[in-house]
Amino acid sequence: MSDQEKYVPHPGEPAPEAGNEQHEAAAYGDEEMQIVHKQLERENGEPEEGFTPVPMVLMVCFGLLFFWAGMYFTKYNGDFRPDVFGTDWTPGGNSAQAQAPFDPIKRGDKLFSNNCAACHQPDGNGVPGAFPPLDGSPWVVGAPERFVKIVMRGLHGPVEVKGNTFNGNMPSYGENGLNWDDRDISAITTFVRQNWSNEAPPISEEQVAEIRASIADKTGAWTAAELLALHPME
Amino acid sequence: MSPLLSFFSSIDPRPKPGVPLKVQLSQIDREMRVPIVLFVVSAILWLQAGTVFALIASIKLHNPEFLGNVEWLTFGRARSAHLNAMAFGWGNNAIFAVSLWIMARLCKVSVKHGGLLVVAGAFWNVGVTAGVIGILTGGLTSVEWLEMPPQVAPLLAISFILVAVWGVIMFRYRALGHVYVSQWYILGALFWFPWLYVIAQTMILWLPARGTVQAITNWWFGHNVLGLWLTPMGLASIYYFLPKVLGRPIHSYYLSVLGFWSLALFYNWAGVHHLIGGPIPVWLVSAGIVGSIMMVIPVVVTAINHHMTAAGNWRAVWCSPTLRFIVFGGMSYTLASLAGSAMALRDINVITHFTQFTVGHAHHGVYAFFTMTMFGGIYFMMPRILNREWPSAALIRTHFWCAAIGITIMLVVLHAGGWIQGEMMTALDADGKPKYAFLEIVTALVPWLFSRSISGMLLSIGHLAFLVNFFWMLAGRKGDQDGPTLLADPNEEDVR
Repeated sequence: MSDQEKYVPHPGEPAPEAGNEQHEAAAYGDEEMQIVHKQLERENGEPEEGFTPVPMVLMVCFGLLFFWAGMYFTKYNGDFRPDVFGTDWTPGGNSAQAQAPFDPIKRGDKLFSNNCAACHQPDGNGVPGAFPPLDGSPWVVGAPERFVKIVMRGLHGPVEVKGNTFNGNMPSYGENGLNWDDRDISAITTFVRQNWSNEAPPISEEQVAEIRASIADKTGAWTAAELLALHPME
Repeated sequence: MSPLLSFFSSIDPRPKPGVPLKVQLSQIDREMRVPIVLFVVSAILWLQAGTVFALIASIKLHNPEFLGNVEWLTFGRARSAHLNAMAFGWGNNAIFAVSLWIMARLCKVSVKHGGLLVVAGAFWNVGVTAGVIGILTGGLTSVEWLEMPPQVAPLLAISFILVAVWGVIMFRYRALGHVYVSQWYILGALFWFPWLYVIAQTMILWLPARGTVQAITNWWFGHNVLGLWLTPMGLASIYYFLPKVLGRPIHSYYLSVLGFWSLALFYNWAGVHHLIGGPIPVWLVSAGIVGSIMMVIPVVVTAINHHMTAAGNWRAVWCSPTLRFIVFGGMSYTLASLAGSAMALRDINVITHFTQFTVGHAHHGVYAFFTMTMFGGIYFMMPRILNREWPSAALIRTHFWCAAIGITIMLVVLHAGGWIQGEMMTALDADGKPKYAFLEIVTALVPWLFSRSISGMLLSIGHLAFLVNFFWMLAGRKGDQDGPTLLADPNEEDVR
């Protein structure tokens, strides 16, 4: 074992003379003998390594693993595109992505279930006492300006919808919130105005752009009173 | 000899020529006595503190009203205090003790002026104490694995560097010749950890990067603390103690090389698999998954190397307190890592993500592998450092069985409960709506979480046995016992 380790010289030191190899027992001086404690006396030498070669089968398996890794990464790299999580994305479509036709209702449906349905509920009826309904609400099917402004800046404080008063906070999806573009805001408003029993005309991207420009210096959420002063209920 | 020359020769860490190996090792053991006792005492005390926080957090999961009025011990704070006390209190102190000792022995350098190491270690523990108190008083950040208030980070980083530099100095002045595999792992990890810690602190808390880059950095850090800090230190211990106690060489140098470099290459990528399904570039997630799967290479290689070394010596493993813990840890490393690779696949991750399964996996790695190897290392190291034997084989046996059975129960219930939880969360009814209400899933988990608390109590008993045995050894006079404290008679041939 390595108890009989050869003396290993440090750099800059003369190599030990031939025939001067260290053998443990013979090498101990009296003092040295005393400082070797008994736990060390019984322990094995410092660990060493054998040099068994790596089995070829293992290397072949690792080669296959590398092959799989290459295949997987090639297949699931999303073409390194930033819009890979967009709703219009179809895997493997590559450069054809941008030409996919835009369907505001499909887009609005997706946006609604991801952003609105948690409060206003998938059936658009809201939660009594907490979140106002969208189905049949005059705020939704009435003047487009009122609806788009709410989506763009949010709404806080009491609001009366279909005879019930709600007092909550709707977040903003415009510049100071999720920062949706004109197309997404036109899609979500159009979808909500035409889903369930609602049958209001769609809101176009141009309309949204106009309204966005008109409220550029509005900060913070609207109150119902503010909006009703601008656009009285029909 | 001039005073200047004698000063320099007094701090020269290189061994005197011609001194026999065991005399050198004796000197190292004696020189490192004070710093190592400090680190091990701190580690064991942090282990107890971390266990208490763990029990509190675990009981709160099935009895929410337990300590419900104590502001300092809300679930969020108790859990974070548990994580930080274990990782930075127990884990790092144990690593400092065991890895610096292994490094000094393998480099055969003498450790002059160990008092500086004591000061650095004391500052580390002051930093962790301040951090844990910061967490309990509500100053915690919301970043997993970096919950300590950012103000303690500079103290921790500087004291870490003051401790780690000792390992680097030892390596610099090592005796020439073959560099053993444990030395690679320890040297690598001593550089990897400060790199991870400083980058994560800077990019998340001091000069925050924008948006999801923070999340990516967070999981790069969180996962790499396990993979590039705890794991290499655990492996270095296995690679040292296994051949040391058995008295036979490690199976293959080539497998060791392959294992080390493939770990260094692939682990770094793996952390992103925590963000599968998150809003980060999809190629980055895929690269993380590939990195996680490729971790099979170092794991299989290391497992073969350890198994071939230990094979045929099971009687010796059974008798030696060190090897029982070390071999348990080594086997857990293989299992935990292979499970971790599988969990990175999208189809499995969709079930296990955000469930107790992940918690079970974390304990598989950090407890069943890392902590068990550190226990083993301390059982081997302390008799040599203190020149005393462990006072009680019964307490070691209690420690081993409580830890082994306790962690096995915990792993089974967390993995099974987590899988059920994941299946319930993803189940859809005929209309494509979630099948189970959230509260139903919470209720279904209660028996699993209750069993987890039971397993935690077993672990606590084991830790107490360890504490008692250690302080008994520390306080006791030099024993008259002739041989080592073993768990069975090594001369019985029947089991071999």
